[in-house]
Amino acid sequence: MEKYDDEPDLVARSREGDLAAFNALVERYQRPLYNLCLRMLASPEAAEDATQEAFIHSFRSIHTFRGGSLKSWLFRIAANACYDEMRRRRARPAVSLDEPHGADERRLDVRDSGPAPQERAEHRELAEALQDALTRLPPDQRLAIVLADVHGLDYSEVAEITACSLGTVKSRISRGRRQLRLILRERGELLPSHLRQVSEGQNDVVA
Amino acid sequence: MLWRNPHRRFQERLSAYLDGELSPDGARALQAHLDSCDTCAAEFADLRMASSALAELPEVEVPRSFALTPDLVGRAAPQAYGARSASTGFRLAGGALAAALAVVLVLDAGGIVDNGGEHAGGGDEFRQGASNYDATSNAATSPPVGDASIAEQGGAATGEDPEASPGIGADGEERSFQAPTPTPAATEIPGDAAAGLGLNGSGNDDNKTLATGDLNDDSGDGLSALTVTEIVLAALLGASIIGIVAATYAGRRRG
Repeated sequence: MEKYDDEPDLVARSREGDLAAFNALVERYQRPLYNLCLRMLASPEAAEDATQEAFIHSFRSIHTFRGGSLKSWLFRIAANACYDEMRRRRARPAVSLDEPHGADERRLDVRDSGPAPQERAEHRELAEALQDALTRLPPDQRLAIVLADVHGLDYSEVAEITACSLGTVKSRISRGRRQLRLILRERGELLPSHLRQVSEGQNDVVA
Repeated sequence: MLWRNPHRRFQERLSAYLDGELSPDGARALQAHLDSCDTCAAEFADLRMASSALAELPEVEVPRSFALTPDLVGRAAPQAYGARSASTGFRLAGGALAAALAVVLVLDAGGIVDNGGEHAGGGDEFRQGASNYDATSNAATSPPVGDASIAEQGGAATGEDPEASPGIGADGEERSFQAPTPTPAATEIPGDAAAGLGLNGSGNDDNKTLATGDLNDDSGDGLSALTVTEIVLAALLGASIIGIVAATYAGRRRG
């Protein structure tokens, strides 16, 4: 991930209550945070709430940030906001999280300009299938998988964000992925051809 | 069956291998296994497929800016976190009151009250310590209440000749009950409550006098103050319990 030189300065100013400085950080991290929340909650509205809540909480507790990776710190707060949101929605299920095919289309938003309509539809279907599969995982496994696979973080970063040991992270990712694999297998025909080839083909690793 | 265990052991490492999180030795061993085991190789391919499919999920654009406004920060602060700390405050206050009430009850019901604190009867160590404590706790918590509402009783008690108090009517039985066992809380409390309400100050005074075996002029005053302290603490405790319940309920509704 990119490194920003001005980050320590922005953090220091945020600590003094400088909202503009903090909003520069918001601008920088709102997209990854929103995407994390979206994958965790599978609902654009819930993700919006959780993201906003996470930034509010971050601003109010920025004095507890002790250096290190700001992104990890923010991800951790966002993950907690997601758990809070899940609890809240479970207690008052006006919006069902078990409706991966809800009317709201924003979640499926695939804005890469260009691909042919058919390919677009394929992507969309795949994204939907994946989100559906993710939603069926236990939250802890989902979080580990989303951080590792969707956000491409390594295990030590996932461990830092989830406040778990490396062993726990390893086991959550392993169990989550195996579960995911079973779910995806059921709908293997959805997978784009290049991914299907991966599944059938080589088992050599570039590690 | 013999085959099964090593098999599973490898399967559990496939994900870490995929992510390059195995030690070099572990990775070599696993690769060797994959080369010879179709089942594990197929599973590994599936895992890799799942992982790369997730990696290819498009990143979604934010629906709006999440930049904070002073309004957002100010409004969210008391709502989301203020409520929590308020109910925590109620809980702390309730706990402190409960502890204070317990201390006062023990002191009172135990018949340990020795108002001066300087002359504890019988050289009982526990009594000595407790009466010192009592003196401080009285000083700290009760003077205004005690002074205001108990002055009358105190005056009556002081005015009376200590010798005369055994003669006071209804106290006879209670005293004889009290004398051998100075600590029954259940019998003590009603009397105290009555005293606190100004119904029967002298009876209570008498109990104490016997219990400590030491007649003291201002014992009536100290006792009544203690009693009132008890009642006030109990009332505050009740109020704070109601407060906790209300705060929790409000927090839940809001959350």
